[in-house]
Amino acid sequence: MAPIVPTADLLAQGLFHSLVAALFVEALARSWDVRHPAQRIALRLLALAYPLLVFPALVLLFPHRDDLAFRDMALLSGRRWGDVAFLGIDLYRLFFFSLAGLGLLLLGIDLLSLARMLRRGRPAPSRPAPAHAAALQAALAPLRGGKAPSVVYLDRPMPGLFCSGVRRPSVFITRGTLDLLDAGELRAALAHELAHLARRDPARSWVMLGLRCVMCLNPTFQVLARALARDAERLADERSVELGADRIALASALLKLHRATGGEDDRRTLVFGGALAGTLRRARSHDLERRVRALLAPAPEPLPFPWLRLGLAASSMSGLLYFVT
Amino acid sequence: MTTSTPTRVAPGPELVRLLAALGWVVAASAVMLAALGALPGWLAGEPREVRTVASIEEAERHLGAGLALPSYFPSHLGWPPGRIRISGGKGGAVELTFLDPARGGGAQLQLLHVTTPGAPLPPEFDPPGSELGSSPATVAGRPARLVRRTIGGEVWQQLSWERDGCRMVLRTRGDVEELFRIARSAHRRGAP
Repeated sequence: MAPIVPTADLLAQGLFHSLVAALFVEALARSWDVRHPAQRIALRLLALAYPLLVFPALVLLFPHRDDLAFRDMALLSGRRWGDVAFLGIDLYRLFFFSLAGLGLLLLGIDLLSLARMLRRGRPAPSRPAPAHAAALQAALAPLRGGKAPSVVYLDRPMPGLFCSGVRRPSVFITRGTLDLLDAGELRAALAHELAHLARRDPARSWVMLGLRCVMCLNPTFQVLARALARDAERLADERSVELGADRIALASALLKLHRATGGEDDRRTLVFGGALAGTLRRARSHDLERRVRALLAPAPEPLPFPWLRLGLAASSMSGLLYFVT
Repeated sequence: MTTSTPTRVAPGPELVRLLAALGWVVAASAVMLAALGALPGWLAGEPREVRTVASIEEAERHLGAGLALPSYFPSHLGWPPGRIRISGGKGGAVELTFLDPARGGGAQLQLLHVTTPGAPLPPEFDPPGSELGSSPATVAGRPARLVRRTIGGEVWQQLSWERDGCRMVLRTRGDVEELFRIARSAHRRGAP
């Protein structure tokens, strides 16, 4: 086994720890049957925080974990995989370079997509026609909440409804959306976006992107960040119901908007995007199907002992990974 | 996890379920990790205690001791050692295997050094085989033992002695005279 520089060695260990932490948390979430999106987010945040906080703490506080004697009693010592070669390259290096490459690829796909979006710039607002203004007013009026949200109307035929902005977060809605959705669906869809605004999800997503860039070589971090974004959508679904939206109407609005946009989305972020387009479209449809199924079911109940669960998950995960070098 | 009001359920059984599920996940994860940790040893056919390292310096760092290396080294053998394995951490043992490119690159010479005085040669560095004969000998005035034995169906000459109380073993498939010359020239790195 050729020597590998200590930094790369630590990086490889960090990548593997992240993977184990994420799988451990997912296994716990399934075993405990965690359905409430806020609880799923809390558990996944544990796994996400692991490479940022816990792993550096393990390395700094317990330097003896690098001793050979400790590695011999460890549950798993990744460097031992350097003794096994596959096609002339030891599996330790193969594992490291494969994971690092995958991490970069996953981040790169999303950065390319973001760059395309940013190039288009902030959409210019328009003044809605009286009928559309009345429909918007009527949809927003019954929604319970604090101060009046900032809603930006875009005079575009394509359906579109999203929230954006860090300092001045606003809900953007197109003419196509107002034409597509009925009153109940519009109210539910707006409630969903207001729930995003209340959690300041646009700002969170930028913070998450920054952390993803820091963890650019860590594919587990990239996948977890995406899973958290999906959880945030599920949480906004549930919060929108608390704001007064009807579950069935929201499910219907999601399906209509997906059929009008996401189902035939032709965004390509890769050279070989054409080959992946079908798969990505099916993945998006699958995500939406899960959200709609969740909305058609009764609201998920949060599990008891939430803090105890988090504490036990964090301590047992860290304890287990202490013995992985 | 969330500030929402939790479901009203009996706390006792729910707590038991929570802990049982956690125990199951921790145990399953530990077993999976241990299996993954043992797999390289199984694939490479090496016990868990034995580890291949990249250089003599790395072996010395792990063992916490300078290795005794020969100053006389036949030119037909390749340097550095083709394989360096260590057993145990500080105070453990090392096995340096030298290859002979002229004979197809097979193992030709092995030098084993136990870095703790009085400690025996680890069994993982003592491969199975039968002893064909043995005779007393000396290495630089110290008592030694020369054994003719088989390893993997081939006949090897094995010379063992102690240096500063630490066990040393040299094995060769080649010339016995050369084996003694190598043994006599062995000294700790940094020492004359």
